[in-house]
Amino acid sequence: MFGFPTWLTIFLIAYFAMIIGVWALSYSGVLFQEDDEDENNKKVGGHE
Amino acid sequence: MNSRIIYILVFIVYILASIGVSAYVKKKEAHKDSQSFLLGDRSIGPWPIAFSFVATLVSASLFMGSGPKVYKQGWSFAIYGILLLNLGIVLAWVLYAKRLSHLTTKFNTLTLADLFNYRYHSKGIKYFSSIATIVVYIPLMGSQLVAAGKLFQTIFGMPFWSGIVIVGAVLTLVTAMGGFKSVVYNDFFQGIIMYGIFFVLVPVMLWHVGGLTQMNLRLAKELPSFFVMKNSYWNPLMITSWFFYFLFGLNLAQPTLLVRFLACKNNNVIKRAFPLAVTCHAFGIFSISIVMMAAALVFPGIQDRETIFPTIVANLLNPVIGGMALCAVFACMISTVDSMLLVASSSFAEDIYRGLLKKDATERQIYNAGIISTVLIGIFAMITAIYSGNGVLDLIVLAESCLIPIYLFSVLGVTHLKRINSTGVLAGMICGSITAFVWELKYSWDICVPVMPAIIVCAVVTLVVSYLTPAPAFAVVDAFWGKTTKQELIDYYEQK
Repeated sequence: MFGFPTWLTIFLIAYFAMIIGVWALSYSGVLFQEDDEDENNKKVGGHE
Repeated sequence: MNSRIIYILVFIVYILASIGVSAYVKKKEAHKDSQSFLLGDRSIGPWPIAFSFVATLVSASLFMGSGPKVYKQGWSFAIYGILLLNLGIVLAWVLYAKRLSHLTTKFNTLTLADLFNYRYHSKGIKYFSSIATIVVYIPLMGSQLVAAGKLFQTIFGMPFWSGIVIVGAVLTLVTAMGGFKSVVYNDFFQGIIMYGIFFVLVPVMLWHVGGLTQMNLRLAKELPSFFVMKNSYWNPLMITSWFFYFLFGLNLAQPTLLVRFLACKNNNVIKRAFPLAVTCHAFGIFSISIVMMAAALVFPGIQDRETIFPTIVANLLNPVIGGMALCAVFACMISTVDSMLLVASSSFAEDIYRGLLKKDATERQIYNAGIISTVLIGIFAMITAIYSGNGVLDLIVLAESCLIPIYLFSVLGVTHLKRINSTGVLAGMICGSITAFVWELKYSWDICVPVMPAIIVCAVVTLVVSYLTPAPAFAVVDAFWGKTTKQELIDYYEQK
């Protein structure tokens, strides 16, 4: 495909799959889920 | 009209636009205290955070240093940059973004050194990291300004020093004008220039070589080494050391990037900024790879890698578009150096001025110290650049090799490694950065890039010393990974 050797084609497909995975995992909340600890710490923290 | 005059006119418009962005931010955001100057009130959206992260990461090296390496080595080099740098970005966001944003909220900190202070409570770490950051960033900024000087010389026909002084003055002004928010929005603007030009440059280059398929077929025939993963340059140690540099060094231990995580207000900003940053970076690095490989076919045999991009601009682009392409190189420089300048000046204002020189300083005095130190450090960087004759990439890698051991484990100790303590971190910082410096002097790049031995020494020393000395107190560990509040931690340190 596009004159790429096979190993490079596989590499690029895997690479673009990774980028799609980043969007999916990020927007689904899997990577950066708001947890109880965060909420608790926001309450006890705060500005001086 | 002469092409050179058009380039200069386009450059003047670009510089005025850059200053205009900062002036607009300054007018919109009246600064009241150091929180605003150093972290932009933590009210910055995902797009500026993502673009400024990538624009800061991508230096002039994209067009003048590592980018042109693709011209010499093709896909065999490009895939390391594409894959490892991108993986490094993913790793940095996944490891650090949520933790650092959360800890900044909890402890109300402005700089990484503030976080180090709560975690390690060590003056040695605070002052060593701050002073070393300033000392390393001055030549690092200088190396970027060298590229500006060379471009002025080759493209505009002006003296080497004039490029350094003009670009240095502009970025000092941009940084001093509005602090973090100004830098982030300016980087956002620079990012649009940097990546926007690829929408023209990539089609033009592909058109000249007959399309992507034709380019690859011609490369396979005329430059077969471009597709060979293993060649004489790529010995296993060299590959591994670049792996360390791209994956760990460039993303996990750069205070200019880490401070973006401190500025993320919440998870909502992080989860939207993260994929944007990864995609934007992938687009840029993939584009420059195609441009450089096409250039290897269109302009074969260029020896000086810093003249490859100017050659493309001068020969293939309309002068107005060419002027904009050159502005993209300046955009890479400005977006990287203004962030370094801000981190260096905030290290001085917060850690050295307030921590050491004037402990009872008011917010206004710290704000003024930030501006004055921005100007002074900017001037030092310009002087370093004028007297530096080194290649851009070499100087960048050396300076970063010294910086990486200072931040890699100290930040991991704040976010993930509960067991490491202040003694181990300080010992690792010192031994790692000295190793990088000595390795560069003794072996240069003959065996591997100095960042690898520096990281290995830093890791071994940090872990061994930490495990041989007492573990951090429960109050400290619980404040970072449990329920202990900031006030309880302060009380603990005062009682101690």
